[in-house]
Amino acid sequence: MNIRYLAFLFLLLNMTYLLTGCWDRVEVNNLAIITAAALDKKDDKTIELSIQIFVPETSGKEKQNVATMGNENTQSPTLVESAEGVNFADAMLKLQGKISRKIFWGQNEVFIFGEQLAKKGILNELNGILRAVQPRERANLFISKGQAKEILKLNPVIDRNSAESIHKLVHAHTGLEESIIDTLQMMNGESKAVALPWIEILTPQDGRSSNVRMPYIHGTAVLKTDKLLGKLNAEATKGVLMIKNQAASGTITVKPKPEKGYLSAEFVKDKIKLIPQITKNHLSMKLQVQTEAIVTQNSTHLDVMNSHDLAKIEKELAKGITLQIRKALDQGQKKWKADIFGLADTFYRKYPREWKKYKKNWDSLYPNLKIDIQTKFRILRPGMTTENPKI
Amino acid sequence: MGFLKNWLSSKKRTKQLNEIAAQQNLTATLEENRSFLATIFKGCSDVVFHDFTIFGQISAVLIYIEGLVDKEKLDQNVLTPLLNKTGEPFSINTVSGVIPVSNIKELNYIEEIIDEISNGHPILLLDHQKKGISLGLTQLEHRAIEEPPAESVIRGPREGFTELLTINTSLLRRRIKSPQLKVKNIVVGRYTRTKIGVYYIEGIAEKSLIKEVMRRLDKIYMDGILGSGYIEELIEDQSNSLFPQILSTERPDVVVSYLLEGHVTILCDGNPVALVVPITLFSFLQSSEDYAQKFMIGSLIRWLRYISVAIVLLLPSTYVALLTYHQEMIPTSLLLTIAKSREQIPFPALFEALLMEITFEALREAGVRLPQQLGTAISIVGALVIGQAATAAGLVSSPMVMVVAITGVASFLLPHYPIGITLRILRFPIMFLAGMLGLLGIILGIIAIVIHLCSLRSFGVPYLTPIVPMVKQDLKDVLYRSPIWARNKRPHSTSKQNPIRQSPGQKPEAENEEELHSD
Repeated sequence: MNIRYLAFLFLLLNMTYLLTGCWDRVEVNNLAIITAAALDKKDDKTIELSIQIFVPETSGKEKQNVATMGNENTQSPTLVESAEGVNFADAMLKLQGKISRKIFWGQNEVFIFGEQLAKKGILNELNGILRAVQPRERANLFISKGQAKEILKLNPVIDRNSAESIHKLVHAHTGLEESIIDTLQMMNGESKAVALPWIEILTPQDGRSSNVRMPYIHGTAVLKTDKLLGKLNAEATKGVLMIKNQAASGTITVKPKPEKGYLSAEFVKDKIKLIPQITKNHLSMKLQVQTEAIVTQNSTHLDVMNSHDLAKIEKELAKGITLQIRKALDQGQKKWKADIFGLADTFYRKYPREWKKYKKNWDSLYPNLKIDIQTKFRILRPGMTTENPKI
Repeated sequence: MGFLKNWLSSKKRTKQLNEIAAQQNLTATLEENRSFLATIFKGCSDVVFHDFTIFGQISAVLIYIEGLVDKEKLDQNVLTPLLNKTGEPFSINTVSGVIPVSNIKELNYIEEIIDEISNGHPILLLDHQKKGISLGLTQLEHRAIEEPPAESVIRGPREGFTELLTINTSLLRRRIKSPQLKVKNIVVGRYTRTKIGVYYIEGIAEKSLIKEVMRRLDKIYMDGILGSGYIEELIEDQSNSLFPQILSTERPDVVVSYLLEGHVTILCDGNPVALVVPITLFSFLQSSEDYAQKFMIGSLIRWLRYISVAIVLLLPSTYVALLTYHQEMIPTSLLLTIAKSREQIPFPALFEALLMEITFEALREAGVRLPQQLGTAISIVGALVIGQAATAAGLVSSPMVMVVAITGVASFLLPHYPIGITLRILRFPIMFLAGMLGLLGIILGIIAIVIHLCSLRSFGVPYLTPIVPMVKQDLKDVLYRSPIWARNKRPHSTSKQNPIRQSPGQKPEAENEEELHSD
């Protein structure tokens, strides 16, 4: 009796998903695994969605090709396919119609917006990406120079596909790292501006294999609300990285005044504190930078092991850091007038009540905001040698 | 109810024959007794009735079963003095006085006599005597004491139980030289009359536990007990459970360690496997080897086993679930590699996993049953089927081969066969759940197993003690293997009444270091 009852219950439970056909089982063989996606402006009304699909079949053959034909003619292990649509969702649907396998967004960690589309605004498409179930909201967002689709078509030699190259570049922290969810938070936050990594195509210098081009992150795209304004160069990007506390590693090179040579130091620890201040209706900002570094090259006559010289070196390096940050701030404040550093949010967090007053005027306040940079630089180690090699 | 009635009446019916015999006293005439026993043992050609005359005065008969009796000693120690001596006044005491045999018993009832004969004791019946004499001159053929192949250790005693209960008892007695080690014997099996020994240490084992064990054993009434497996199935708490609730071992040292913690051990004549009750799940994941190594090593190996339990139970199903439902959870580069290797595979992941797992289980079972010479052949075939050929034929992807191989290795890590087979079987329903519901199914399966484990008891002790219910003091033998000097108390679940095992503060210290180095 009891066993029968249990068996019946078991059958009933099984039916709930077997009979309704709600069996979500998908084999990997039936998946088109997307490694990267790109969105471009097609014309005024439509966009073009391109995806880079991993092709498992060719990878096996590729091995043989490499063995027999050499490096020159390797087949791409990825396939780039694109479809037009009025928006992301529409294009996605059309794209599925073109591909035999089920498009799988779960592994996609790279979304690239083309320059033209970014100028028009990216928020509408982000909406579609965020709403869809599969795409990751932690996927990284990029703006590309020219057509984003071109980046997907690249076939870097050292990595499996261009998506992997981009992903690795992000982790090298040479550029910003912004996920979809971060970007939306910045856009919805008080600053209404966002900085995204800027991707360009790198052509190898040897010229021999001009078809082997690689994507690389070179600078920062500045977006106000959701529209692309312009671009910061690589030098200013360093400062942006520091202000956003994303500079995991980096090197600073300075030329101490009376000396002839240069001195470089690599950061070990780099921390920045944004301290907003409102005094007598006056908004100001204090940036406290704390950097610890290792000396990596020293062609000056200053001795790192000498405490007198060391103080001087540290002072010079701190000056260098301050200068670097100032450059980035100037670009954001003066040139593009976009609060890509999220300064408005720090004010809002510290002075939630007072902020309401300044919120409306932030656009006019921001470019003239007085920002004080205090840098503390500390040399931790002199590197592997203490003395300069002499001839 | 009908079945119960039948059972009761059948008990009665068989009782009748025994009862007649039991009530029957020996009579004073030898001829009568002899013929009665002869009718009982009619058709048993191995039972020998040896007629002779004692002291030249009185007729007697020696009854024994050939092959169970030490004939040489019987001739030397019984027949020789009885036949040679003459002229002495006759009585039963003088007879037993001249026989140089230590184990002599006087018997009154026919049933006792039958039992003694069946157990291999020669019986001496005398004319004009209402008593028979049982002579302890049994000689049973038996296997030598060997290392149990299923529970071998690197460092530890190499002795294992044998099929003879008396030898097994002596193995235990040799390790516990205390009169507190008690042995209770009962005989079960209508035809087999198998002797069962129940061992415990008085003062450590709880009286209620011993009583419960005896009650369950007394309830057994059947034709024959062919092994401890029969007993296990007849006395365990939840016969419908996949999980073993009684520990079986062939190692006397393991049994002794349990006896010292207040457990009760049941040994059965004709079987080298001892049963230990009560037991918890964690006992199945411990090996006597843990205590031969240093405690850190023992603890690490114990954790390795816990991990292997998770692997045996969940690895194939997790692989199936991830591959069919949660592709986004696999690291990108790993998924791409898997996708590449799976490209040519015609089967869904669930079927692939089932195919491989069943093949592996079949090979393993075949290897266990086959003679050793064929075993190597099986392993070669197995290596081909599971490894190279399956992938080369495009039936199975190589990651799946890895998964099956890791699962297989993990299952070899479990020190007790019964728990291993339980987990190996449970793996399959979880694989189905994973194939149908993904990770959700796996979680459902785990929940069901945990609920079941929580409901299990072994002779009154919850199966998951000391985790559920939590007994902090006993965690020292579950989360890690505590050092010998730190195990001051016995386990709470089995020896509440006598908890102190040793005096504290026995951690070795180099107190006399100076003295040691003085010369």
